Amino acid sequence: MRRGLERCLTRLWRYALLLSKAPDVAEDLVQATCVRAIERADQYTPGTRLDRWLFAILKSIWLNEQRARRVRGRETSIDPENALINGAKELETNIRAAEVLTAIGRLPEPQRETVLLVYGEGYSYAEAANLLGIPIGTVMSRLATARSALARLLE
Amino acid sequence: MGDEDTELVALSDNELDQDSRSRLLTRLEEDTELRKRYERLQETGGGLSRCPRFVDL
Repeated sequence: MRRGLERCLTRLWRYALLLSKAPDVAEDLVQATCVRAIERADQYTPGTRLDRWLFAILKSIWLNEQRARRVRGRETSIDPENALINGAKELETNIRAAEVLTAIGRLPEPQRETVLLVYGEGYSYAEAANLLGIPIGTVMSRLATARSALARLLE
Repeated sequence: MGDEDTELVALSDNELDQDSRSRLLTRLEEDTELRKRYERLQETGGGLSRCPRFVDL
């Protein structure tokens, strides 16, 4: 479990960052996810995708956090500099990537997380639908709406 | 966002079934406006794939 967790840490952090749009919140989310995964390790079925299980835990924690945050009314924003850790060395590519990340950060959360899972994590539409607990048609419409919005934002 | 754009995005992501794919490709050959929309959506997809965080990890 611990080795599997270590392998997924960066991806979890990336998912947490795009959900929360704040590096400090993302770190807390990843930490909480790791703690919960270790606590509930007996609920994980060996041989199944650990990453999907961890993503589901992180999403669950995030939703709970969101509910609490609605009361506190905290606003956050993506910091492209943080998002580009381990990023490309080419300056031009990094500038473009920062623009893309900033644009993604402006998308509504449902679109943002779907974009991350499909384009960031490489999940198929069906896998993303399963992970998010939504119909595949919803994944398709979210991505189409997101791609259209990104095209406008990146013009 | 119409069903057409949803299909165009799915096509660019290689997520359409064979029948839908063939049908849409035929339409793209015939419809210039549709082809322009597809190319515009593909450009956005290219932006996503060029994002370092999205390809380097």
